[in-house]
Amino acid sequence: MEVSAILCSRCQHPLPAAAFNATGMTACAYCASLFRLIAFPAALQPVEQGKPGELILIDGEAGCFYHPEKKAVLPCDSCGRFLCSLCDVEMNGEHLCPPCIESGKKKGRLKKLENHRIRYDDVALALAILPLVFFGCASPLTAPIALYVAVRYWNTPGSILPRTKFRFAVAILFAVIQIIGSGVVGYLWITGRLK
Amino acid sequence: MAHGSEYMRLPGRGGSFYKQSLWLGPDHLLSVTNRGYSEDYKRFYYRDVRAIQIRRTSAYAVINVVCGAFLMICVVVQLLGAFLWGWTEGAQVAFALCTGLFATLCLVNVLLGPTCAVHLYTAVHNESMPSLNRLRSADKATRLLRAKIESVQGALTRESVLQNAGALDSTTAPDVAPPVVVEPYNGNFHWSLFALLLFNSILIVVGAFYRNPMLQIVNTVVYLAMGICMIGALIRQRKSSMGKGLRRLAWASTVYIWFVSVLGSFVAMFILFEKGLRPGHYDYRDVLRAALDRVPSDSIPLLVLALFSAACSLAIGLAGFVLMMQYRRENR
Repeated sequence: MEVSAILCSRCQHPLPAAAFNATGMTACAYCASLFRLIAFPAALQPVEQGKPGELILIDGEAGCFYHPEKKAVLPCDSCGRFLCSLCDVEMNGEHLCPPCIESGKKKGRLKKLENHRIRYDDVALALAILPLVFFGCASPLTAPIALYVAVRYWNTPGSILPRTKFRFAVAILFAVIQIIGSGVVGYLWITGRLK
Repeated sequence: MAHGSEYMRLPGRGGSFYKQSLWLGPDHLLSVTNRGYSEDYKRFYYRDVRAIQIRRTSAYAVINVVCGAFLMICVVVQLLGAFLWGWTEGAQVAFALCTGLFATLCLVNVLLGPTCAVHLYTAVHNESMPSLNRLRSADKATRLLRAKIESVQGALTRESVLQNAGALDSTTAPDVAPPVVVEPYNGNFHWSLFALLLFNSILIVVGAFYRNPMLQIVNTVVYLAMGICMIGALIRQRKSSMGKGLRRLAWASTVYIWFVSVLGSFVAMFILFEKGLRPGHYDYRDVLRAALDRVPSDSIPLLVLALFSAACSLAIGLAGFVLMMQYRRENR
């Protein structure tokens, strides 16, 4: 197996070994752009090829659940189905099959596969504040929606990153004030005390 | 780590449309793309990172040159307005705000320092890190990141690099370099651009001494045509076999056209101010009338600017013609 080259991010030409962890900037031999390359031991390791999975040669050998013609090498740690080396995915020390990974990702059990989250606190805050600033007349409609979003998603995990419930609290406060304000204005208007 | 979270923020924040930020996790680097009301995550495990490339970019110099040029023009016009053209206080304050804006942009750019592009490599990734767009923040972030990666992988010694230098450099030989795709290009856009620049220099000189509405219209059409040819030339030369000289001339003509457009706007503003027309109190007919009422030879600064523009146009046009003839000979 060969060590694969690291390509210049500008001209896509391979970078020379002399540039690896060199002190100061080096000029690319092709595009002349100045760069610094911080390399790690993984850069010198050959890229591993995927395992194809062995075919069953002897009768009675256990076969893979998804590829019956291939030899099973271990069971899935989640569903227990036999897996060939092609179907085996190692993750955090566990061996899982692709459908278990898919369902784990959908249900949010595999945190490390999560690649998208909606920030409901920002949605609630925007619904509570933006209509107030830009379209004041829409706030009787948007304030209850903001309140609903804030209460409904209060316990839903927000961002993976550090984040407090401050936005939710502000959204609830503003939404409640707007609802009460709209109610008072509506009452005064109906009773004819608002001209 | 903030709020007992497993992530620690790395310096730098940026991105063209969506903002990106980088976070150090226990066993991976988390790249977070903020899409307004949602976030997208990408994880790069420390054990998989092969290298980080920090490449200097020209954005720092370009921003400085562009803002500096605008600043210089603003300062010159401001001084001329105050001492020569007798601007009102209101006009001077309004223009001073414009000058201040460019000065602030220049200062902020200088304080932020040189720009760079950072790429992270794994066996299957070559991922750009738009949040690390300044050399200072990139250095700081890579120092922290390097410590984390080396705690997992260990440090790459110079000896091990030299041992594998043969294998690494065998792929760097020019014969295995990606082939450069050259598209055939007869240089029509460049020919037209340089011819228009020569014609433009004549028009400027004639227009400096001779007042004629037709001349103004022809001049405007020539500038529009130059703009179109310039865009065409810049696009077509990218994958052509043109030499550096011609490519640079195309860029020089771009700078020239941009410079003349900016200058033209300032001169138009000056003429309108001089005629006592204030924003909101004139329409395009007034602008045209004001432009036609003046010829550069009426005032020394305008004449100098016109002759300077004509000289630049002539120089770029002539140099372009010479290089284009050479290019045609080489590609015959």
